[in-house]
Amino acid sequence: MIEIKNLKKSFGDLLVWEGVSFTIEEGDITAIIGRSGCGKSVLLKHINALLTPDEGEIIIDEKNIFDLDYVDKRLLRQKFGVLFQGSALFDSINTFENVAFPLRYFTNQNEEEIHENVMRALRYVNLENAAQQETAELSGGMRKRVGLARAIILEPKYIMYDEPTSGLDPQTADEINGLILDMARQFDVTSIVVTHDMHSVLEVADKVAFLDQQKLSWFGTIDEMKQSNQKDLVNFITASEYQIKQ
Amino acid sequence: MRVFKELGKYSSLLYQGLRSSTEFSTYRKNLFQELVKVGYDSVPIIILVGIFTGSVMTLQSAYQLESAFIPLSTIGAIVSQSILIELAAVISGLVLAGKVGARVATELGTMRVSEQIDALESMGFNSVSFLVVPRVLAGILMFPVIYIVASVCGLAGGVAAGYFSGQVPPADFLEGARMYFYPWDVAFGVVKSFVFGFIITSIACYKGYFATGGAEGVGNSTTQATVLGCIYILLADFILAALLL
Amino acid sequence: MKLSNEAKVGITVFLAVVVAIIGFRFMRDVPIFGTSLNISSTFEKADGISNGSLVYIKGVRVGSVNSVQLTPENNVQVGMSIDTDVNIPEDSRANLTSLGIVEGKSIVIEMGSSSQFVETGDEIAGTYAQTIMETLGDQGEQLGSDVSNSINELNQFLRQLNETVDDETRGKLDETLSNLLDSSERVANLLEEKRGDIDLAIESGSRVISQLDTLATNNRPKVDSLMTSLEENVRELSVVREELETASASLNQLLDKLNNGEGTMGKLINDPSVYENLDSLTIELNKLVKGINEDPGKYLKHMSIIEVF
Repeated sequence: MIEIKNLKKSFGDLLVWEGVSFTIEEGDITAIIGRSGCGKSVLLKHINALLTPDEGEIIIDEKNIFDLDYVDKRLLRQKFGVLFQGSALFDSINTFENVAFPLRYFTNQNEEEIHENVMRALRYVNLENAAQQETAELSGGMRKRVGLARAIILEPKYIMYDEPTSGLDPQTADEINGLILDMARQFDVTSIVVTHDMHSVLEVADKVAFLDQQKLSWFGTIDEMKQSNQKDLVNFITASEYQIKQ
Repeated sequence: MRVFKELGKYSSLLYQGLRSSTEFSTYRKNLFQELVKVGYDSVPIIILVGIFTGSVMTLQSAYQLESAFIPLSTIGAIVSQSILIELAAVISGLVLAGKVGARVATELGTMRVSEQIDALESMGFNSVSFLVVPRVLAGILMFPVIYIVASVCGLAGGVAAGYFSGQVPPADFLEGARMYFYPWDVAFGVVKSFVFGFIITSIACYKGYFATGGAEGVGNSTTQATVLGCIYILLADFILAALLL
Repeated sequence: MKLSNEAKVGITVFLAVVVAIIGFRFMRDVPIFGTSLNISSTFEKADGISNGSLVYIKGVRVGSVNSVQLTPENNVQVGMSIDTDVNIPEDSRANLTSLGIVEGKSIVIEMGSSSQFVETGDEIAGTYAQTIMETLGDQGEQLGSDVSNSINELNQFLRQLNETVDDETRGKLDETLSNLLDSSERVANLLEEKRGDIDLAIESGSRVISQLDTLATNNRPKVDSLMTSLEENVRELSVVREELETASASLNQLLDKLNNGEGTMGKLINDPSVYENLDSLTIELNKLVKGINEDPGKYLKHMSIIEVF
């Protein structure tokens, strides 16, 4: 369970948001939605303590993560798998090594075990043939899948997805959505999906947090969202649906 | 104000690096990779730079000191002392501020803007220890090697230029060079190269590590890393000369 | 062959260290491999000598200086490393000197003659030779003040001259000069006129000289013997002089003794009582003679010969 309490963040004079509070339940897929530049990704980086807020706290396992020292923060982060918007693959090493990377540094597995685990993860994202390819040769969708394989390789308790479907064709986006759902259901991981893709939200999310006008504008389950008549949320959803129809 | 803010950020990056420099297992592999990139890969350019520095110095000194009252060995003395004290360290430093500094700043800058650094951090890596420490260490460890290569090639270039131009016989050149060869000069050069190695790599790491704003931002930080590296090399050269000579 | 990163780094560092060591030894002028002969020498000072200064034997470079340090006695001990194939006798000397005016200082070893050769750790005698430049430097101050004195005097003289030479004098001077010019012209004319005579005179003069020359050449044996006898005479003279010297020395001695009252003569000269005795004797004698003159019979009555008178 991740409790976000009264978070406030600003960069210099620019306020990102304030008073953000909600709880992410174990096993749920929580979508954080909002317009571009509303601070969704920034919030994501607070959840694994990559950024520190001006005020407020995030409680994971009954501890405020911002009170942890650097070593403990790093231990905490190992419980998170993160799929970055641009996949953030290391370009100096090939696909296999990218996925094997956390294993090499955080486990004592031998080469055989590493190979086995990496290939299983790649098979899971349907990329076992691309193992020896350089990351620069991969397409956007493949990169996302490699990134996902890397994010799950340490079998994390939480997985955070930063715009998992952005820049992908609908078919690939659906594949990714499928993977997100499958991850949550099959391995019982808690997922946090940052996106502005309503299609994706409707497909995977259990709960939705809507960031708007420098605050948490709305928070509830996907069903509650469908019935909600909060003006900003409705506007946002309508705009997105219009886009989908187009 | 901005200057102090930058200095503070730079210092805290270095402090983090220093604190995490004990995590040898994190950066062992990267360290060797960087040692190769900073040292081994720079040897050809440094040989070239050294030879040309030495030969140009010799020809110009011979031109300037064309007098019956000045023994030819003086040219050897001037060239060898200049190379050992100043040129081997500074010119190779300036060249590598371009070569190594730009590469490091671009690498880290790209990693920053493509979220690779965030990815490292979110995996639980100490990105400073993983990225900055091996690069700065490689600079510190390899620059004395670079200095040695540049010095030897500089002197060889000087002897060769004197011989082939017929202006300074090698025996005279070496006599002068030996007459004014002080081990302290070499020690000074090595100290300089340590400092320059540190300056180039730490500034490049700083600029790259905190790069912002996409590809253009990476370009900016690369340019700044190169320019600042050169400026601080010259500044450090001056300070060291004032302190140690 | 694909090298691992570790191998590349290792090779680079290893080669750099090897090159550095070789280069260092090369620049210090010690043999790159093996050892060298290390000896030392002490000088009163070591101006211009430093590590790397060269060591020569008969103009051949044999090594270099590798240490310069003060000794407790306030001298300077200079350590040198010498090629091992050079044998240096134990009684060799090291001279700290300069090979030329502009050249730096170096050490020149003067080989001794001993059959024992120095070994590492030995010390040979050292001397510090002043160079021309240093001598000049030392005397420079004196020289400088002398020169400036001279210049002062010259200045003074010139000033006085200037003062003396007012317009009137200047006129006179001009006159004198023109007279002088006149005279020299006349002399020139005279010379021109008398050139023949002068030539003649010179000719005869040279003839006389050549005749003298011939004479001297012809009479060389005679001149030689003359010279020999002259030399002999001089030698004899010197013998005589020596004898005279001895004589005068004895005389001096004698006079000294006389003065000091040694011997009869001395006593005679120096002891007043002798003189006084003599004096009173003379008086008595005078009295006696007087008495005899006045009354000879009184003294001569018993003397038959006197009675003859």
